[in-house]
Amino acid sequence: MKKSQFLKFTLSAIFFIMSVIIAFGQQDLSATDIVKKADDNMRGKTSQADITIKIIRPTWSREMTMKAWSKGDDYSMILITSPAKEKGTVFLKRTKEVWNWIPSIERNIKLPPSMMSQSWMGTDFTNDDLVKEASSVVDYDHTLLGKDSVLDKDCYKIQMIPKPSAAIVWEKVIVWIDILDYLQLKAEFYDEDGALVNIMNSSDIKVLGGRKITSKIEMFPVDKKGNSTVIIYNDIVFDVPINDNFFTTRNMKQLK
Amino acid sequence: MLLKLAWLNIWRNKRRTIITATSVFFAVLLAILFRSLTDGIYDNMIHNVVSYSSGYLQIHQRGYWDEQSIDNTFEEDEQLYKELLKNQNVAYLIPRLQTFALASYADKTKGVLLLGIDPAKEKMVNKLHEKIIDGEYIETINEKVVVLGEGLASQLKLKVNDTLVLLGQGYHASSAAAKYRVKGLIKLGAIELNNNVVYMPLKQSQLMHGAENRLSSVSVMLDKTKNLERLKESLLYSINPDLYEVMTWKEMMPELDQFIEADSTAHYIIVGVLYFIISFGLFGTLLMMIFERKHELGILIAIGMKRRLLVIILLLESILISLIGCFAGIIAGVMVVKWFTIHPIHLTGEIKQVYEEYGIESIIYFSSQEKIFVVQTLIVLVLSILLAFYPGYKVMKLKPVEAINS
Repeated sequence: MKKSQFLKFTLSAIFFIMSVIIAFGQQDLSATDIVKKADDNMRGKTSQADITIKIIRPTWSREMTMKAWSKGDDYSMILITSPAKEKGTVFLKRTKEVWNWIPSIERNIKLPPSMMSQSWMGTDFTNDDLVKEASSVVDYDHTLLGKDSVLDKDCYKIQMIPKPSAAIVWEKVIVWIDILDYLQLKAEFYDEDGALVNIMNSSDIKVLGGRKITSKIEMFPVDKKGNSTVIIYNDIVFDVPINDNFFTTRNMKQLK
Repeated sequence: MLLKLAWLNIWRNKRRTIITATSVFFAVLLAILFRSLTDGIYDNMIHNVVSYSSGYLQIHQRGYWDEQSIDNTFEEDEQLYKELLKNQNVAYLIPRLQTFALASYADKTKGVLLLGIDPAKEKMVNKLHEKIIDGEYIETINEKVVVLGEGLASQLKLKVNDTLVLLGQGYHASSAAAKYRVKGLIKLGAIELNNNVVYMPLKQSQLMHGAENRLSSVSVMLDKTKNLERLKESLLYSINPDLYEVMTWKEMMPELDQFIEADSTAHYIIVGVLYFIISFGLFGTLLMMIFERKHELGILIAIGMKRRLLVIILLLESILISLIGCFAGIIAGVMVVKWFTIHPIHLTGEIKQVYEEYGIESIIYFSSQEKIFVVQTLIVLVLSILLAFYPGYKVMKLKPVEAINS
């Protein structure tokens, strides 16, 4: 009898202490950890995704579908599956290099640095975004600015300032990360004059590939009214091992 | 009465009148020929440059010129052609799809100007097929070949029948990538074009850019440079100004316009010197006349002729002489210019080569615009009238006694 009471007490004490520790632990999560957690949530060791991209312009819009594979920060591959004219076009990212296979001219082009700031496939994303977006954890210094709410969700508001060594065009990036799910819901990109350039909104939280992710990402360039790009994840699978050999220029040509 | 007096007076001394009239005659003739020649050269130059590049006038979708992207192209429209051709000054319409792309052969890549053309229409207007130096000209609007500038070909180290890879930006953010057989090389006078241009059949270009039936511009060719601004207005009237914009070559190629402007300023100075010399010649004969007729004029005043009337007579005399000279000058000018418009001067030798290197026909045309004749004649006439005020002034100051005794 006494024994069981003691057990109860110790157990509840342990639970209490544990919960206190967890609570404190959460309080103590540094800004960097929050960003890392959010980043890990969307990335995983590897991923295979089925994506639709919509380009929205004041007078027209256009839709593309593609398959994307990624492994860590360094490797990713994108295969365009529609429209017919672009079908079979492949982009490969290996660390800091981007290659583009164009089947209609049977050429594999390594994108030169001068093309990095140009639009990727006519979207509001640049080729640079494709390469550098990965290093949001390593290449920035993070400061927690406080809490804010986005779409009725409580968020950490974190300011990210690029480290001097990083080749990043932004002066600062401010991100909003959901306190509950650690998902990035909003990001604002500022140029070197401190002017807001791009706003990225993430929404439609869904469970895909066994994880809760934001399945819709919208990019709005601030100075171009009516322009935006929407990325929709139709399906995504995480952590299925992919061999490094997959991300080679040779494989680009036979990808289906 | 005064006119009659003046008329009789000028024929009293025929030699003097003829000398004066002749100096006016040559002044008018020289001024007309000089202007006609320079204007003719400019017109020819403009015609040559414009027929390869922009056309005298160009029609785009509204807003294209400020943002020359393929998204600002417009749909080819037979109705538009019909409306434009209603205007009598419009000789030809040339549809084009103009874009920029990367051209690549082996491991060389270069940015190029990609011109989707209707080969038959270009042939008619600027005789593009005659500039082919190797291979052949494009035959149909749908042939899967390209023709490129000889300068560009040598930079890419490419020959006829090699395959050129083109990579650009397609319509509405689609991709534009294709490869084509090089059918011919073309040598163009304008170095910039020669080093950068790739001609391809219009339909192929539209296909490659995913821009079926779309054009970036319709160039309007005229028989002659007429009043461009007015023509622009009237064309804009006949088509929908909310949809299209019309631009003159002066707006599209201000550098050519400025060059001509600067060059013709130099010519104005030369013409100015010419007028100066002519005025002194005229002034000389007038001085002589007043000196010879001092005695006569003195008597006229002494017997009661009003000085004012005398001045008017002298002025009329001088105007009559100038008019005779001017008319003779115009007639001779018209004849010379007519002769040279029918038989233009064909340059030979070194000058011919220089001209051809710049892509300008080595032929000197004379401009036969009415404006030249009228303006030049008026200038000489005004000059001679101004000069005639000097004898008038002398008469007003003439002392009859001294004059009679001299």
